[in-house]
Amino acid sequence: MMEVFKAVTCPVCACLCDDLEVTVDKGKIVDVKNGCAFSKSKLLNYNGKQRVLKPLIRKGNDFAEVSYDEAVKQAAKLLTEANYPLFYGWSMTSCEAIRVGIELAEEIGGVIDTTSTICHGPSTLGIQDVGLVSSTLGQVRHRADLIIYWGSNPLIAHPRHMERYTVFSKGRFQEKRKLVVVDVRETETAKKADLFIRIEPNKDFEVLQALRVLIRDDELDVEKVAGIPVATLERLAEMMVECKFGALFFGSGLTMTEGKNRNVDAAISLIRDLNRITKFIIMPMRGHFNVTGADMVFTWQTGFPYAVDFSMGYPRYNPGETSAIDILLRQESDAALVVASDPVATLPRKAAEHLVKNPLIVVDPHMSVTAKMADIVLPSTFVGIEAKGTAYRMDNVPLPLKKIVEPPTGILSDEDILSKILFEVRRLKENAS
Amino acid sequence: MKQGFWKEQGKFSENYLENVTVCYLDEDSMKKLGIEEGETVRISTKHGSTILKALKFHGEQPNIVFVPYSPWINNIVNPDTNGVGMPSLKGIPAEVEPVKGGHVLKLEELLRGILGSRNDGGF
Repeated sequence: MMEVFKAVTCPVCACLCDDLEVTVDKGKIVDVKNGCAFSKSKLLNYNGKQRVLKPLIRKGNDFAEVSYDEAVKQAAKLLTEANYPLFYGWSMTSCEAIRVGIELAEEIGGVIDTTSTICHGPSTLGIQDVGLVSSTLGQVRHRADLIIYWGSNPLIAHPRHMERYTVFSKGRFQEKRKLVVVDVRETETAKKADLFIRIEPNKDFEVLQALRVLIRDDELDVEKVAGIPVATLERLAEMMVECKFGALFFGSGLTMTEGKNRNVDAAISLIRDLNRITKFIIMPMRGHFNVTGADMVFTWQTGFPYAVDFSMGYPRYNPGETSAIDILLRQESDAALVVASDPVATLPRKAAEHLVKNPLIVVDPHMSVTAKMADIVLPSTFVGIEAKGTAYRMDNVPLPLKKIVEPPTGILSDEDILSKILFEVRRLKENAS
Repeated sequence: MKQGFWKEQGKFSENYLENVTVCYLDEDSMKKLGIEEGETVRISTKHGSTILKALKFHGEQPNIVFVPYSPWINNIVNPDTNGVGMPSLKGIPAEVEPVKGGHVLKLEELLRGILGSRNDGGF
């Protein structure tokens, strides 16, 4: 019998669109309404041939199928024997699973880090330096009359952001809005803009500081900043000052280029300055569906949002030292547990090379590039499809992830797998003492 | 968009691989460098080099090559985190040159390079 699930939260990007209508027939998803292309692609195809259906342990160049008990036992052994294991990933699982992951990292005395470390980590550093003037996406939808996307291409990366919250949405108090895009290339989003400002790569900091000068009605004694005529920047400054409610969304164009956290400092400072004149908010365009939740759970449990080192017996946080990529580049980790992430495919080569030298345990529903190289693979359910949980939207609003279909027989959730490993680690430690 | 679409179906799917082994240059850059659409090019930075298929970007993007995030570029990005934990993945000075009939590495070949001598990952 066909069953339609309404108000399903989409487990793809940090927009967490919670208006999907998913039709299930005989335990299989057959239709998805309201979702973007990514959402449909995931919900209709997640259970394809890349799915891992049995725990695997490496035997030479092949994998052997084993029971969860055996794989958990081996994983716990590898982790307890290590001196400085790395627990990496976390942005594509539930807050509930992340909580157990942190407990495990603390029990063992390792380092736990999220994919923020290679995405919006610099945003977090910028926010810790100068604070954040922000709001929910609902406020933006209903009130904002000026939208700026800076170093971000939502039409491609967050396909429904503009439709649900900004220029293509109709708010209760605001139906029309102006769109400004600042980027190094004329992206698909830029082509829709009322004003597109193309800046030279790695010059965001200069442009942001120039705008801070201009909104104070001060003059710049140069003709161009980062290749942009000052007159163009004056036009943007005027739009910013004259709006009633402005919103600046920034992407990895700010965090991954020269200046990194200093770019974010400058952007937030510009927004802070603007709030002396009008109402303006700023928000990072977070990527994976629960990367914001990972920040949240980390902060509740340890006091720090990512890159937390338990090796001294208490949480320490010093990105640059306790962050995953630095640890891998310094070749310090001696085991790794990867959950809901594919670092071999995404980290710089030198970091990935050290990661695969470590005894490597992967918890993932799919045979990812990292899983292919693992010593132990623990297959898990897809949270938001086959398991319920909680995730945080990019504006820090928590939303429930639903269970809409049953997982393949015998497959456990990330939370259950991590709990089993934690239980086994405690048993091993008790026996040893 | 295509990269994200196919990623959800697994990174070993033909379609995903086809969509990440490319790079985008605008018309002017292609003309200047003598690159035909669909031809292979070598992208080199001081960290390494990679061979990808060049496609035309329909928009302004002078002197910039845009490459989707994938294992094919992780040896050309700047791993230095400047003491803040974040490597530089964008805005990296690079040279682009046409390589007629260049060999775009298969995922297996690429991964063997990362693995070194530890095991062959079952490839």
